[in-house]
Amino acid sequence: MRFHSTHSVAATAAFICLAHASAQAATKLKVVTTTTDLKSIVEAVGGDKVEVTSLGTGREDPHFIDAKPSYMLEAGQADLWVRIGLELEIGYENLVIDGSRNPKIRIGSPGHLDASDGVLRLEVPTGKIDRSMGDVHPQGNPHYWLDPLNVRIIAKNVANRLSTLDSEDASYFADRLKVFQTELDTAMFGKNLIANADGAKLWAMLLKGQLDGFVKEHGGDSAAGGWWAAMKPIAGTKIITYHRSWSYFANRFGLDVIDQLEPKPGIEPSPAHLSEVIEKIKKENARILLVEPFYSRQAPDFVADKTGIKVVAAAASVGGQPEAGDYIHMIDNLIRQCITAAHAATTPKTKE
Amino acid sequence: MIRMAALCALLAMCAGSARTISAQEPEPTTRDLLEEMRKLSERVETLENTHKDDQQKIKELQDRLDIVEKGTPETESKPKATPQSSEDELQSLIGGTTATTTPAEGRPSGGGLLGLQGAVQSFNPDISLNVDFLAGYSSREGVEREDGFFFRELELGFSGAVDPYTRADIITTISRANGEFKADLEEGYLTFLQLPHGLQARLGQFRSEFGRANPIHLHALPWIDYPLVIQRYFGKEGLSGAGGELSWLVPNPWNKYISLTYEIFNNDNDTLFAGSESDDFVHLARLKTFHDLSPASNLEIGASIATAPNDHGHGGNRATIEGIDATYRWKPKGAESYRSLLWQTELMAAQSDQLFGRQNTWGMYTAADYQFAKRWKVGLRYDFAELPQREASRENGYSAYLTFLQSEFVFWRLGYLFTDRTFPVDGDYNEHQLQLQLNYTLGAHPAHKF
Repeated sequence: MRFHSTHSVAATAAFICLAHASAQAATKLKVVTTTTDLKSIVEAVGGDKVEVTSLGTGREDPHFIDAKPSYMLEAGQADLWVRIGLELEIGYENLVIDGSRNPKIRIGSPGHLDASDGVLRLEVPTGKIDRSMGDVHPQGNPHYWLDPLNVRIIAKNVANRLSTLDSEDASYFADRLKVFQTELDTAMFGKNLIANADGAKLWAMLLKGQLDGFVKEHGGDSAAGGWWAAMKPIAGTKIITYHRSWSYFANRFGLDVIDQLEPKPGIEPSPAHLSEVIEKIKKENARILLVEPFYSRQAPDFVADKTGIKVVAAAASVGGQPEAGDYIHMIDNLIRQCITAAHAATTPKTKE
Repeated sequence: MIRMAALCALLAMCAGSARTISAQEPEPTTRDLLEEMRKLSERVETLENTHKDDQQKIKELQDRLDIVEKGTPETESKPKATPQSSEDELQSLIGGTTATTTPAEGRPSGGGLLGLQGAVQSFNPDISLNVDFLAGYSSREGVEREDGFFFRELELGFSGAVDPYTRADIITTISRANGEFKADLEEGYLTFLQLPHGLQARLGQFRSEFGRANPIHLHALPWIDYPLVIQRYFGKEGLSGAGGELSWLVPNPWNKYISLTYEIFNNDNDTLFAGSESDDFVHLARLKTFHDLSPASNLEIGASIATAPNDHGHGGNRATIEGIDATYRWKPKGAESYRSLLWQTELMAAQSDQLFGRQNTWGMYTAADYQFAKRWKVGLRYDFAELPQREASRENGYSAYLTFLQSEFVFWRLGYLFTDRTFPVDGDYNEHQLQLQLNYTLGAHPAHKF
């Protein structure tokens, strides 16, 4: 009897499935990204030719996303899966992709994109690594999206892959890529500089250390704008971070990360390590403590209380805070908070 | 280069013509010399022009080659126009500043040492070792060792893609029984991943998908042991066997996760079923549904049924087991990320023909596991079970757990279990157990089963 009822359930489900599939003849590419940052980039490049879902919300630790069955369902309907890579998703990606039963998005298929292809990587371990070093990523630090330069590359990777999957709209994606890159470059360098040179050239000059010279030739410091000019006055500021997730941001904007609250990546702050950090902050006059909002404030507040360092709890992912609605706003918010904190940290010191 | 060659040729010619001049006309005039120079410069000009033409031809050929290589000239060359060169320069600069340029998916880009390692490693399966070590005390005084240290289990797991269609998972265990270590195969199956229509199949030896807790490996449970009802119905290690499984992700208009699983496997389980001498199979079906209640909470509801002969298949005696299970999870985001709650309940009923006739029994457990800090969890479990062989024999279990996650790879768990029985075990109706579990994983980073 029980088997009979199971059969009829299966038959009904099969019928519903057929009806459903025909009703949902989608023309948009369905994209599932592991993080909101990738979602923001795919939406910028894909425009109305894509429908994007992100597994993460930006409000959780991106290393620890649960392999929920509803994610398998999302992935099952996807034409393209985009991941950050560098083993950020190692805790759940296989389970979700296997569970999705979707051959299109398996690793190595055109429907699986590792966004890290060709990005600038930091902290790639060179010797033998083991777990005594904490949660080290053998291919390098995976938080690379916090460097806007890498986001230019991610966007290009996305545009290329979307064009492969939907070749009819290749020029649409190419145009949108250009628009997004220009928007990003303008946010980085300001309107004036973009008017004088295209974005790639400005980035190249920045990497070669020639941007300052170029700015001098084109109207001096007042001509420079964007995140780059905003961060210049606080370049060299010594900072502490909770996790090793801010290396790319610090590298791009000239902040000097002198230590982490975590003694090793992914290892909880210990009292002994915190007291070392406190000494270091005092000795080297570190001024900002960067923390993602999902970490406990206990250790950061304790350190701030002992040293007067300014805690900046800023979203490192789109959606992590209300101000971080898309990628550009997320970096905007980060930079604004860093600058405010740097000034707030200096004022009382000069008074004393 | 070509310019240099032209210059050399010119000098050679100069020398050559100078010699001929001196041979034929011993005293050349200035005018002759000037004329000679004019001729020479004309020849240089011609040479330069041919060189320019050649360059142009080479460029055209190169462009045509590019188009051939890239395939689609229209879409590719359009955005190229002018900015491409600065984009290219930027790309080469990034390549130069990166410690390694090996793309994660192993595309060849001359990544040096890391690229080499990646290529070698990628053909090896993921290997992980899990060790479960216990220190335990029990109020029971039986023939077996109840108090002391127990190297309960060493699990050696290999997994990886076999080919584009299948994935293999092999988990062997070494555990101690009757004073000796013995090796066993806990699971060893091939998963067929590329089946159409949302189907997936497994073939081999695997833990059966009956309910929530049974498919989970011992060390991945939120407790130290399987719930009493599972131990009573399926034995200490739960229900598993060699066979096949087909599961289907059921499409539905509500866009919910619904999966249907059918399993057929050898009737090896001798607790409720007939045991390994039987030629018959266990048939099992499971329906699982999943509902997101909010971004932070979800509910999983499942129903399972398994049936098999329990008299070696000759007398028509069968055992049938039904189960329903509900699991509620709460895991907030943002500043509360490191709190979570898992509450699971399973009810199971069995009808079987036994020595004392038809036995209708049931059992259940309900357990909550609350994470109150990033590395700490507390758990409570209530158990009820009737012995499937004798419905009048019952036991109630009350247990509490405290778990400390030293890191992602090591945890400690302290557990206390009080069992109250209607029948004596080693002369006692009550049993107190206190256990300390130490569990660690070595090797490949495990994916965390939901």
